Amino acid sequence: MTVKEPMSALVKNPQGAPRKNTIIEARNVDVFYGKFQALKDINITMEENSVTAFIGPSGCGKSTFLRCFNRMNDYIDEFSIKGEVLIDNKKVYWKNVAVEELRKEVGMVFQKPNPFPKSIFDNVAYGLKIQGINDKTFVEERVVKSLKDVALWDEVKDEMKKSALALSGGQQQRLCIARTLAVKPKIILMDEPTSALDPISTAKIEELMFELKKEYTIVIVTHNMQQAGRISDKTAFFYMGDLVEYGDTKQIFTNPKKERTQNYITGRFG
Amino acid sequence: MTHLDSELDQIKQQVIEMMSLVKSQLAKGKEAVLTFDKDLVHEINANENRVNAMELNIDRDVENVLALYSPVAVDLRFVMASFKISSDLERIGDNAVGIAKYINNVDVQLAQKNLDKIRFTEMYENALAMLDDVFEAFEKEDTKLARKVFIKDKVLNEINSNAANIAIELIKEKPEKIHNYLYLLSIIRKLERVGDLTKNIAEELIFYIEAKVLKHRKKK
Ligand SMILES: Nc1ncnc2c1ncn2[C@@H]1O[C@H](COP(=O)(O)OP(=O)(O)O)[C@@H](O)[C@H]1O
Ligand SMILES: [Mg+2]
Repeated sequence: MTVKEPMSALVKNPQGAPRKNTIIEARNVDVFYGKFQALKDINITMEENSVTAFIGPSGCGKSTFLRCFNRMNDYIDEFSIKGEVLIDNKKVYWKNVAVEELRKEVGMVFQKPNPFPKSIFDNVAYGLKIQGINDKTFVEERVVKSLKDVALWDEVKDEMKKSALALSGGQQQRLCIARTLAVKPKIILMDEPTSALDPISTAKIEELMFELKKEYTIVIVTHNMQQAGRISDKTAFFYMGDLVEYGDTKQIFTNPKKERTQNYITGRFG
Repeated sequence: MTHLDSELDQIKQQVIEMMSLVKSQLAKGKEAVLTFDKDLVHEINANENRVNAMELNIDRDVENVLALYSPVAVDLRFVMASFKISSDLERIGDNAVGIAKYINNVDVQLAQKNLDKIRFTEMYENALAMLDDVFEAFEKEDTKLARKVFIKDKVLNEINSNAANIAIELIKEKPEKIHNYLYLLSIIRKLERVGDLTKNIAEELIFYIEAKVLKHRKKK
């Protein structure tokens, strides 16, 4: 065969659907807090523009693993990691990585909405400001776009100067997501983002995730099984530091391969 | 036992109860044909309402469990299987009623030798044995028992496919009794349907127990 394939043919699978790229990868990751091993030999890959849910009982290591993707564990004294974490094929724990740059690419949303005691506008503009971006129109456009993306714009457009702390819990959480989006990350990590919210706000954030995955890759820790089922493409089940099972969410929730997964998702743990 | 477990167990008990009622309906149909006992026909008709009510009860409980507990994995498969099995059972019950109704239309008792010729008793006993197999399989969650029905169903199919020619022979011998033989043939056809429905139940059971969908496997 000497016929040259066009470049585009190389990135398509035989069915013609574009092949998705791996954006997050962990290879043989062990994590320790002092002598305590919190994660054991974790291997996983996640695709671009997908939603991956981490599930498992409290203390199994979900948050620890999530924080490895943007080095949020760096602040913990006793933390140490072995193995490789790769974002976009780049080693996250390479000594020359600029952590601030990494966190621009990998944003994070926490369980409790944590807006700054500043105006709505300043909250969303914050990431751009600390990057030294002062172009007023650019910043304004980004802020509006981000607020629109989280479906908050219509609710706050007339009171951008109001303190973010005056918003409801659900609005604050969407504001925090907007703040993350404003710096255009590739990946958004969410650690139980709806566990402090009422059902309506939760539904709004879930809808939002569905929209966001068109542009972003999302990894979410959730204790709500139905939420994992509704919003994620892939589900990873952790237990006592092990990644027990990882697969298509549909498969995990209809026909899990491991008995431990089955016991957990059906609420018969023990 | 969790709250959900007790709900699931309740559904299971209802399905088991429905199974035994439907089996007794079908068994009475056989007696009705063999003994020409029209009281049995009344009894089967009267019980038909109970079968229908049981299906509705199971449907309602399944709906509640789905809405309130969002079962997943093996629990979801169990609930789905129960839902389908109760519908199959209801249709088996319909066939029992259908068989009984033919007795009302036949004017004399069907001669044993003609019944034997068309292999009526053999077919009926196989159909009842298939039901026993799936019922036990359901109670014990045993796929081996469930799989037994596939071989037995082949016997039903064979008897069914020969039945038309035998009916023609019988009609040629005694053309004046044609309607009796046509009813007999209809009963054979209904038993064949019972076999298919029982096979469906076996497939649902295997799906629930092993999570393999046999139904979509290519026919050879
Ligand atoms: N800063 C820390 N120092 C020491 N141990 C920690 C620290 N953070 C978490 N751990 C331990 O690591 C394990 C995993 O914790 P975590 O990742 O928070 O679990 P999850 O998010 O699944 O509930 C737990 O046993 C927890 O006690
Ligand atoms: Mg956590």
